Amino acid sequence: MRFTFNAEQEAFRREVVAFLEKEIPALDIELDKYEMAGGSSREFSRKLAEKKWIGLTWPKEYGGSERGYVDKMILSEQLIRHRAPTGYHFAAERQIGPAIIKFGAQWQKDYFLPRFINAEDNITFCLLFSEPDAGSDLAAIKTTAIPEGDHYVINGQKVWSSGAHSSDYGWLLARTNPDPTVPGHIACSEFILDLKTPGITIRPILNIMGEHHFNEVFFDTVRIDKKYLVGRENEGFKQIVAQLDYERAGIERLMQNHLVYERLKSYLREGEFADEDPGLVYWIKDAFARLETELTIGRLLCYQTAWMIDHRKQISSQAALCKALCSQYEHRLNDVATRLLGASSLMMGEENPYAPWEGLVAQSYLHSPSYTLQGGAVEILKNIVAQRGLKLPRA
Amino acid sequence: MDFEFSSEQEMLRKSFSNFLDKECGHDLVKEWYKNEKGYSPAVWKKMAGLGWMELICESLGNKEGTSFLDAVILFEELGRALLPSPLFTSAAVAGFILSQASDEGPGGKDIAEIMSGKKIYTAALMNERGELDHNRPGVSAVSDQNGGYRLSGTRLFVPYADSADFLLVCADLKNGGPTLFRVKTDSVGVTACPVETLYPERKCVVKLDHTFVDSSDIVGKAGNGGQYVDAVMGKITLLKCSEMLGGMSFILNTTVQYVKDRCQFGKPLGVLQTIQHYCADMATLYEGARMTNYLAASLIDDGLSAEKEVAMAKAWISDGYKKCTWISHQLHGAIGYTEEYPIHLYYRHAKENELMLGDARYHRWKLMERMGL
Ligand SMILES: Cc1cc2nc3c(=O)[nH]c(=O)nc-3n(C[C@H](O)[C@H](O)[C@H](O)COP(=O)(O)OP(=O)(O)OC[C@H]3O[C@@H](n4cnc5c(N)ncnc54)[C@H](O)[C@@H]3O)c2cc1C
Repeated sequence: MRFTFNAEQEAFRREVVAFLEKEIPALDIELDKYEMAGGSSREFSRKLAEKKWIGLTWPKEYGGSERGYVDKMILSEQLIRHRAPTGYHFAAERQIGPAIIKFGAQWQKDYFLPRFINAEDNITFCLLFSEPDAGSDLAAIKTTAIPEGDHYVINGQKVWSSGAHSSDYGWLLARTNPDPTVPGHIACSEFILDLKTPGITIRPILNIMGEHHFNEVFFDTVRIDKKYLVGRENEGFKQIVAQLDYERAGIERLMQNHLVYERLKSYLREGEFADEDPGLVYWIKDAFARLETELTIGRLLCYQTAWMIDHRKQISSQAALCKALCSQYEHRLNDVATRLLGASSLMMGEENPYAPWEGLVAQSYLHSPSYTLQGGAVEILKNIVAQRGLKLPRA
Repeated sequence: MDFEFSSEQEMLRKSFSNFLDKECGHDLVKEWYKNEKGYSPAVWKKMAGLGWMELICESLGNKEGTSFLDAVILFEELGRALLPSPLFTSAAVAGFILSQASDEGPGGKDIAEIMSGKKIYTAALMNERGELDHNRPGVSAVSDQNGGYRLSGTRLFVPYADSADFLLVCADLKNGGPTLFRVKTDSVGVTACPVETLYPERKCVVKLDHTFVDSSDIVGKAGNGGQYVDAVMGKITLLKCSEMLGGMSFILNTTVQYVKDRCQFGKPLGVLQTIQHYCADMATLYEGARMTNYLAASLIDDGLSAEKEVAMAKAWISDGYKKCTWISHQLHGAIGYTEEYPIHLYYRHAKENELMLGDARYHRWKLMERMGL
């Protein structure tokens, strides 16, 4: 048992840090002040690809380095700490690539994997899972993909599809068995969907900040070649469950707002408010110490989950517990930051001279309600911990 | 990184838990609380035979092949079983302090006595308000005209002082600062009276009334007493955290099993989501406790500083263990509120240890200090 890095892990961490400290400032883009981890730069993705740091855990036969998930976590942690713009290859690497490796047809491997791993053109993906009547209850989706000769014909609607308007492909979950008496978890399949296919309409939905991130996506008799089915027909649900576990175990669920943490810490260090109301000073220190403890725990839980993957253990319950704790930490972090700064934290806008930290805090506070929903709402995650982890009976 | 104990460590754990399962059921524990000494001397002898005191004293890593993690595992198992004994105060608290001081003076012989289990030491470090006061001791040490010193003062929460052979007392030496003394409990002027507290493990009020000690009873160097205690406080605290972690694990497992078995409205309680979420919350508190505890333990085992990590562990575990016992009582209903059912012992244990060695608030403050904030 050893909860600290060994010498090789520490050396890898240093190598990553040295790379990022050199490459990120050299990039031709300005990091979005608020998009703490969501920036996108093909140039940066290519640089990572040259280091062979995309697909670090993938098998060698697909161009990967066959390293463990702990190493991958070391890389991810540093990427996020340095606010590296990984958006260009993020979904392809985290979700789509591993699913293709596990379930995909040979041509899909041959075609997509080299493109992903080299960060070539046209590799951005959005996830087309949720529907108006199927959120937490994903098995209730109604969108159908019905076989017709060499094709599937898709009809229906998706919602909350982040980035669909700027992606090349969608990763689609649809019912291949239209008989409504057959339960969803044995009636769905996964598809790769080229979003330029005729019959697809993408409409923006503005989030609470009035920004356009997610979308509604409509399918009106969309015909796709059968070769775009991933894995086996009607087994999509089984396939997706494993992918969701991997998605939940990511450290981005903990550190999307790390910039807020850093600013908060230096504010405390500089002690600008030291002679203010002693009650505030005491409270804020106590609150920050709680955050620090949760961050430490969240980080170790992420690493533990990665380690469990490396040791071929069942991770569902651990990943769920980890994600629930991490996303609640981020929510609290942003709240604490507003209370430290007081009413001035309400000021928004980069150009607003009265806004502390360029209005970062108000911005993150508005992001917060989504963390405990996307990728599995906290309540659903607790159900998983109770039922799969603690083996409590299902109702 | 390695998130699992090695097979040797697991075997060690098994050997501890096998012994405790056999020797110390909750019925016996409750009997021992009330017996003359507050523990079972027969079981103590067996523990000595198994080398537990030695394992703890040597876990500081002064010897090849010893590991702090072994002591962590031992205290986890002790916390699961809630075995009452002077092991913590004698081997961990007094043992660690004596080892720390022995680099600068005598003490080696005392440690050998502790390790054999033949002599029991206890630490009397808390003042009448229940605060650790080793840096400004509320006990005075005045030079005696025939050489040596006279100690006077009152100590609270001294574990097993009524049956221990020696007390470690930090006293304010006139013009010399906080100084550690070894006091024979049968010296003239020492009284040790058991007192009733919320958690029934034996604790005494110790009064020192012009108690004579020789200058050879100074532990380490005069004036350095507070430093010795501070130097080992992190390790002592982490072993206490490990004991609390063991208690948490008992509470989690017992409660989850109970809600699987207990039926109401024709179904096990455990099918209800409210109940499941309470259990998931306990599991999360427990996982967080493991993370902080083992992180600090890993650093200590590597001989690195872990003050920040120990503070996080004690802060999280103090709150988390207590909350788990609250949930456990809620989910057990009235049966849990009976003297016979064991969970109240953990409810008590959690509260006592929340407040011992610094509560969560104190350790969060310490954590901020360590971070320079
Ligand atoms: C910012 C953002 C981005 C997103 N991006 C995508 C995307 O790219 N692609 C995509 O497919 N989806 C996306 N989603 C959708 C996300 O996956 C869903 O929001 C999530 O699955 C919850 O579904 P819902 O919103 O329909 O809420 P509901 O399922 O209706 O849940 C509402 C509330 O009820 C609770 N609840 C539901 N069922 C239970 C139960 N069994 N027990 C206890 N409580 C329950 C939930 O926990 C929640 O608190 C995104 C969501 C957000 C907020």
